[in-house]
Amino acid sequence: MSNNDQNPFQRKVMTRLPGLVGAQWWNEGLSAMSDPVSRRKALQALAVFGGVVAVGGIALASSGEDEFLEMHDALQMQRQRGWNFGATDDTLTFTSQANVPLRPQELSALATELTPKQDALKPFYQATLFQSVSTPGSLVNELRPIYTPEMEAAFNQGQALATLFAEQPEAARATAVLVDLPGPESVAFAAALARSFEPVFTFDNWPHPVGVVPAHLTLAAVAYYQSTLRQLAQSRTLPAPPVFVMDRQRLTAYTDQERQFDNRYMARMPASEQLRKLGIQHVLYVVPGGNAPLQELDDLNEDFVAWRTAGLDVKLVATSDFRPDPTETATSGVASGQPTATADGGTPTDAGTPALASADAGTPADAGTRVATAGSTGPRHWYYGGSRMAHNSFWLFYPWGHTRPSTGTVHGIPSAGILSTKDVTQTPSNVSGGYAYEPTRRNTMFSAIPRGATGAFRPFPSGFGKVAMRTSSNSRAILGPAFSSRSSWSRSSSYTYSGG
Amino acid sequence: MNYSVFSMQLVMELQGEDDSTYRELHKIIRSAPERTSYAQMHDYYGRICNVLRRQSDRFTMGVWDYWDDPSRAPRDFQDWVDGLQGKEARTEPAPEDGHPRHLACTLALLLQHGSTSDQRLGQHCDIAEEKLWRRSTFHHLLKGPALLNFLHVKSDVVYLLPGDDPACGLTHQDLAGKNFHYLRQLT
Repeated sequence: MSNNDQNPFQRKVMTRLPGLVGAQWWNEGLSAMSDPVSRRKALQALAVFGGVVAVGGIALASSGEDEFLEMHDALQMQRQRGWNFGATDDTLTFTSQANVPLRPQELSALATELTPKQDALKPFYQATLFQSVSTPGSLVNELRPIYTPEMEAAFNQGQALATLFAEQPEAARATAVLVDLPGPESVAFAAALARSFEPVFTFDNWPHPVGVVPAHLTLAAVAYYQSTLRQLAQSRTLPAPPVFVMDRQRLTAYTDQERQFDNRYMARMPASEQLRKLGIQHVLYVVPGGNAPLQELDDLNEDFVAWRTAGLDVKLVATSDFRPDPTETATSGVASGQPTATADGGTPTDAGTPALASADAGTPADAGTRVATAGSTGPRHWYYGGSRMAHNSFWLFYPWGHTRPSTGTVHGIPSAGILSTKDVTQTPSNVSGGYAYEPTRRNTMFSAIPRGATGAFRPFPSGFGKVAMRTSSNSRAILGPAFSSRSSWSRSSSYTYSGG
Repeated sequence: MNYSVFSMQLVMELQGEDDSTYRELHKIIRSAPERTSYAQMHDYYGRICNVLRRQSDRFTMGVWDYWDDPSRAPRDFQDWVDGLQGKEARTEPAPEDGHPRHLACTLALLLQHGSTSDQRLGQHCDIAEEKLWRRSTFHHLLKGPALLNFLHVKSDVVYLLPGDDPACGLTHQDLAGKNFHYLRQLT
């Protein structure tokens, strides 16, 4: 009997760090999943058995090759090998590039600059995406600020919501807003709220040229709004309620292990008791309208259900519920001295955002919510339900307000000012049913209902956010990634904003 | 082959940087042999669990799972293995603030699903709902690895925070942060 037979447990990892000591073993006496297979089959297997294979790192020998595949944390590999490792010949694509200069020195400050000012919110902030440009390098040089029509719309929708909360400050203080739109639009929507809500960015990945999540576009949108966010942070009154800024594309389907890089991640939300400590009683979850389902993304299900169980009121609103009033013209109700945006969307000023931070911005109710919609003849306001008279019916569907609007105006125009049905002058019929939403438990890849102990969901499911690396069987050195960069995937139409 | 998984993470307050429990656990884990037998592995986990059980009154927070769902077990186990990368560990001591530091000990076992070891451990982990988060339950569960024939253990992982520098103990803020959001207070 060989030594290996007598000692079948092989130590695979031994970690000794100041903060951690530990080890992992693999029982070579159990032979499951150790049959040699081709690399392609190995990759397919990794998708299914990622956890197990990654753990052992020994199981999937490539046929005829003196190497095997080992799963690694994708972000960890990027940090070690560079943001674009394995695809250094590929480039990122940015459409709707904004006419604002890129300042690498300012980008390097993103991670610290966007840290919430309130200590209570800092634990939920993810600086990961911003850390990708914290040092000079090729990513900084490739980055281009963007300002897309979708961002413009999201900004207007965010400002419409801001006007509602401006009229109900008590409700605002007790509400956490979760914006879960495609990254650039989430950034724009949050920027519109950022005068009175403190943004908590949750972007927990790095861009990659063949990344399944187009994180570079989110970063490009943040670069566009950087100066605005900086100004708003300085002028914001604290304590301020949080707006959690999420990239809806974080769970984009990962289907091609050979040509895509899995830079997916899952959102990490505060526990209900942590929200309570912040004074939060309500959660407003913002999703796209259209065909998007009126429910939370899979990684949020357990959090939402737990929040509801703990007594937090979790409701949903679709951005499509906020639309311009088609009956308003460029001149109707326009108060003098208010910022007016142009339609070219080329600079942050065009988006009306500096108005939020400027001295004459007043309240969010009058802070640059008018924008010129492409093709229109002049600026129009955006409202819940698409009309001024319907706007305040929001508080009927989301009954969190306690006070009658103090100013009685919205966008400087007399509002419906409703708090009860009898005051409703116009109830919108064309809004989503988000107000009736209630989170319910459902099975997802993130579900964790362990036998015996409940409530301890794990950060990442198997095979999620991982990259298969070819590893030498002899030296155990990492030879390179298993995915290939030979495709022109990053220039495909997979991304909303790509292709330019 | 299908798998089940047993995992546990325990937190207790460090009694200074010379905490004897930390020293003992650190010594055992540091001695991890490169190759070992089923019996030695059984002994190895037995020693770790015994050290912990003797200190069960000190447990402040914890989490444990037993999954006999083959579709979930590998990924759950992988999540614990990922902890070896040290993402949750301190890279340097926290500034002295007069508050106590904490150690966290984690162990996870990937078991052959349906094996006698798996069945024994499954029965051992059948805990009533109201007792899930008691120190006494964790004390009980720490007897579980001793029930195993390591022939049926496909892989296992154990780690201790802090590592080689006892000054890198976890602060209360660390434990209240997102990296440990899943921990429960024990009673």
